[in-house]
Parts: sequence; C-alpha cells; structure tokens
Amino acid sequence: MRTYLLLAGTWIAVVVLLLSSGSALASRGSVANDVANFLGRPFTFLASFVQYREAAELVKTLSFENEALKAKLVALGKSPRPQIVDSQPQVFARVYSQYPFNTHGFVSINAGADQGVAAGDAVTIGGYIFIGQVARVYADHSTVRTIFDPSWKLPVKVREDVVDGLLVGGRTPLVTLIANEHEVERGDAIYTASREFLFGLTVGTVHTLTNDPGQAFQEATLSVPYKLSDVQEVTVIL
Amino acid sequence: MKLHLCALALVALAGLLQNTSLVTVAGVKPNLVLAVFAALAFAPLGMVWFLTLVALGALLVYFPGAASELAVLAALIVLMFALAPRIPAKAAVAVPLAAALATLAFYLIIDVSLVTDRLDALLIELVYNATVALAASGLVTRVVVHEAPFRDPLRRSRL
Repeated sequence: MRTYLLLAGTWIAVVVLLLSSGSALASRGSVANDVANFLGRPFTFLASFVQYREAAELVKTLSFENEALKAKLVALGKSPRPQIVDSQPQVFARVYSQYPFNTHGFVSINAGADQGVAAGDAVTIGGYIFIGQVARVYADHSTVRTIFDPSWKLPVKVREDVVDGLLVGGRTPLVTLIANEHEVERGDAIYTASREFLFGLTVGTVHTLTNDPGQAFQEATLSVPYKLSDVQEVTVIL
Repeated sequence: MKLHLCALALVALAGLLQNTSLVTVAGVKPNLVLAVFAALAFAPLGMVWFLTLVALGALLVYFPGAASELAVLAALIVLMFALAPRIPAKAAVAVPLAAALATLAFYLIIDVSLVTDRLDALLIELVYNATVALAASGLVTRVVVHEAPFRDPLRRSRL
C-alpha cells in the first residue's frame, strides 16, 4: 500500500514538473545549487578549516573584483570612447545551472527578455571579463554559451591589439591561428575582437605557447582568472 | 518500500546535482543520472517504478536545448533495464560495465567528436560513471538484502 502511495506521489511530482513553466524548471536550478552548496560544505571544511572558509570566499570575491578592475583599466586605455562600458546598460544575473553533459559549455542565468536580455549579448564578470554570449532567451531566463563550449570560435586579439587569433572553445580553450612572426609570451592578455561585442573585453591570458617551426601558426592555451564552477553572478551587457 | 525510497532518493539527488558543478573533476562532469540508473537497472524494481524514476530524472536534469540528449539518455537507460536480467555477470561487474558502455554509446550517438577529439575527457567520464554506478549499486544491494534477505535479486517486483 505504501509503495503505491509513494508511486502516486512520485507521479504527481512528475506531472507538476512537466506542467510547470520554463521558469519553474529553470528555478529548480537554484534549489539544486543550494543542495550542491550544502553537500559541498563538509568537503570545504575538510579542505580548509571552518574559520578559513569565509576568508577563502572573501579572497575569491576580491580576486574577481581585482581582475575586473584591471581589465577595466586596460579597456579604458584602449577604448576610443572613454567610459564606454560604464555607459552601456547592464543586467546583473545569477547563474542557475550548468549544461548537464560534457558536450557543451552552456549555463543558464535568471535574466531573460523581461529584463531586456537579447540573443547575442555579451556575458561578463564584473562587466569586463568576458565569459560568453547569450544563446537563447526566454521570458525570465536565458542560456549562455561560454568560452568552454567546444563548438564555439571567436576572433580575439593578443597583446595590445597587435596580434590576431581565433579562440576555440573547449575544456581548455585555445587561441589558434597566431601568426608565427609575432612574439607572444606567457601572460599576454587576450581580448575580444568580434563585431558582435564591445571591443576589448578581457578573455584571459596566454598560459602555454606551442610554436612548431613546421606549422604556419602558433597556438596558445588560455588561462582565465576564474573557475566557471565558482561563478555565481554575471553581468549581461545589453 | 525501502528499496523504492532509496531509488527515489538516488534519482532525485543525481538529478539535482547533475546540473551543478559540485562533482566536476578535472573539468569533466560525470553523468550521475546514467550511473544511478545503471545501478537501478540491476535492482528488483518493476517496470512501472523504473519508468516513473526515468521520467522524474529526465525532468530534474532538463536544460533548455538538451531535449534530444535527454531523449537518447532515457532510451539508453530503458535499454539497460531491458537487458539487465539477461546478463549473467555479478552486479559488481555488470553495473560499472553497463555504465561505461552506456556512456560510450551516449556520446557516439549525440556527439562523436567527444570520442574522436576529446578522448581524455571521455575516459575520465567513463571511469567516473563506472565508479559512481558501483557505489550506487552497493547501496542498493545493501537495502535489498536488508529488506528481503532471501529474495532472488533478479526477480523484479510486480510494479
């Protein structure tokens, strides 16, 4: 009898989930995040004692802000119009959930058409660190294709806009098609150079360089100042 | 009853955590739902219950634009359920093997480039899924033995 009741209860949950609007299905991602954060706490405690956990969170937040400010300073120096990013309308959004499989690098955020988000908008951390592009827009949530999506390619500039490259997404994003005559070094900054976005948004820095004399182009792996799994809030530049 | 509650809890937990980054290792996310269902396919659950859990798991994992992948995943899970009684191996061998083979079949169907271009990520996921499936199978087996120690583990319930 109890088994039948449990089965009936499960089917009620299934029907409720099925008939829920898309926002409700997306909202369960915030519940999942809370569950994940809760389950992750013992591991955080084991890794760093409770008294250091808050400090670690603070360091993380400050690190993001620091990188965003550094990128802002560089962008201000490069932009033909001062304060251009500050004058752009922006929307702050929370990351709901990540794509469930390893085939794509998508995340969903809790901002959609109702908040003015449109497909193709740049998604950043702090307004200056580029992490992806809005792919699909719904009423109150959107999916964002990040630079970790294997099928995404994006024109970029390396080191003070001198060197052209092509960012190829993936678990470890690569910058390819860097002409051999340019001397690129580890730590050189990489910026967006696509007409779709605001020019000069920081993507990351060069981590390792592959320069095969037999090849026409160099290739570099990208180092980003964040872990996608740690990103909880983003800024969408409208 | 305990088995059904255990199965429900496992599916709910896997479904909720699948879309988070809690369990990501080396940038690779395991397929918790597939691993849990690989374990449940070899448990004495009836078809009605199993399909109910598949429906619940699919809805919990739902992500906009991933409908086709979810459909393939559900089909593979149902196939595992159908083939499980015919596999003569012990659960400790059959469950991780089923999880690994299902993972491979999943990516061969939805995105063969993961097999051809990102073999390292696939191998990590294969091992990860097999490990999670084995752990889930261990938990389910303990529940089954505790609940009905003399029941044939391959005899499915009416539901």
